[in-house]
Amino acid sequence: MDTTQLLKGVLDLAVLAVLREEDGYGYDILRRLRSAGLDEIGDASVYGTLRRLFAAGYLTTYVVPSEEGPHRKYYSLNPSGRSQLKTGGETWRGFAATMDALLESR
Amino acid sequence: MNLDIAHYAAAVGAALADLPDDIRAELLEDLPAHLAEVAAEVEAEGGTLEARLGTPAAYAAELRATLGASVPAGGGARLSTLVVQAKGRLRTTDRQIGRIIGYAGLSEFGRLLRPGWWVVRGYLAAWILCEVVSGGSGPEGALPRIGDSVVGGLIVALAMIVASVWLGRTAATRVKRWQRVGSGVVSAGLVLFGIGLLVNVDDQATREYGGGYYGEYPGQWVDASWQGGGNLVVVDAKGQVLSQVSVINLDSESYVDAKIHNCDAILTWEYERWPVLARLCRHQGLYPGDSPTGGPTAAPTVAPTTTPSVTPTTAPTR
Repeated sequence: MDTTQLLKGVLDLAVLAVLREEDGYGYDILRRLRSAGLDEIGDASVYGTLRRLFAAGYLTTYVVPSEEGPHRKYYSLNPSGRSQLKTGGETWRGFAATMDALLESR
Repeated sequence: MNLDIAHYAAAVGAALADLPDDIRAELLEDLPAHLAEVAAEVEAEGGTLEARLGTPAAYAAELRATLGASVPAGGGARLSTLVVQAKGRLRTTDRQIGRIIGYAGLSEFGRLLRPGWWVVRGYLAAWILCEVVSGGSGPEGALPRIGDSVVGGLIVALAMIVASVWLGRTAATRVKRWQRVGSGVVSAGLVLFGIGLLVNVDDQATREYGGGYYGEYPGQWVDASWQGGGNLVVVDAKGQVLSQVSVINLDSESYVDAKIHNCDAILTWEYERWPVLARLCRHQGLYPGDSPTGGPTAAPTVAPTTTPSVTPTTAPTR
């Protein structure tokens, strides 16, 4: 099964998850997701998801000036984002357990 | 590299042109900054932007997918459904017309024409600029002129065309609503002005080359051989026949010796004799027979009466 299809549904959760420990800027978040094993994830997916989570009020942003290269916009989880990550995580675990059980029994 | 980023962002924006303005603006607002970030990383790792990100169209498609079901429905859900339906119908029509002219869609064809519009826009802007700089001495022709200098005007035109093309190429990176509305208003103004300019130039051209036109109106119908006398009709600027007028010859300081006709008391035979007079009067809605006076064949008003009113009566004889 094509993982990009699966990814669509959980991209929000994945992005929220990699921001739990540490704030990050767009490309940095992409790298974290890829090194976590989501190799097929594209830059536009991450950028679009960040924009959407920001618009939904789960993220706050701040700009860090850079001496060499462009300024970087960092994204950070706010309390609303943390609670979204918590409920989203619970939903996922429940769903994953159901799927596991379903696949196991066959 | 910065130019690459601008072009890449513009191309992504163009591929998302069908999205509602606010959603599109929100998606694209940060894109150039984000791409700059990516570009810096990619360069450090020794790659190129496009090799890393794929084509702008593919990037736009991926970006569109992240909108998912979260395209805001809100209070205007029903309205937005209607908008989506209308847009779908428009897209179908777009494709149908496109098939006729051999393109994927009419909008596709329009996109191809866009650079042409940028050139025209620059030219029109140059024309207006030259007019303002030269003190607005009125339209003289289709070429922009600074004072009397066509060369100066053309240099301005060239500069404005270059500027206009640059503006057009980078337009998709300016996504703020006021910028889009502003450029729309300016474009509409330029289009109207362009049509006006075209009409003006055409008008001048047809006046110049249309000398042989035989019309009903003064100025287009001049007979230099007229020496006075004969039959005349006097018309105003709109070709309306004037009545109760006289013509005075200033050289001889006398009324010209001519019969001046009008439509008020025109006779049938006059119509037949002077077709031009007939045409002018018909143009005013006056026909022979409508006129109050009769023709020359009108019967004399006095007719001999022959019937005696009194007949002699003979008295009966016994």
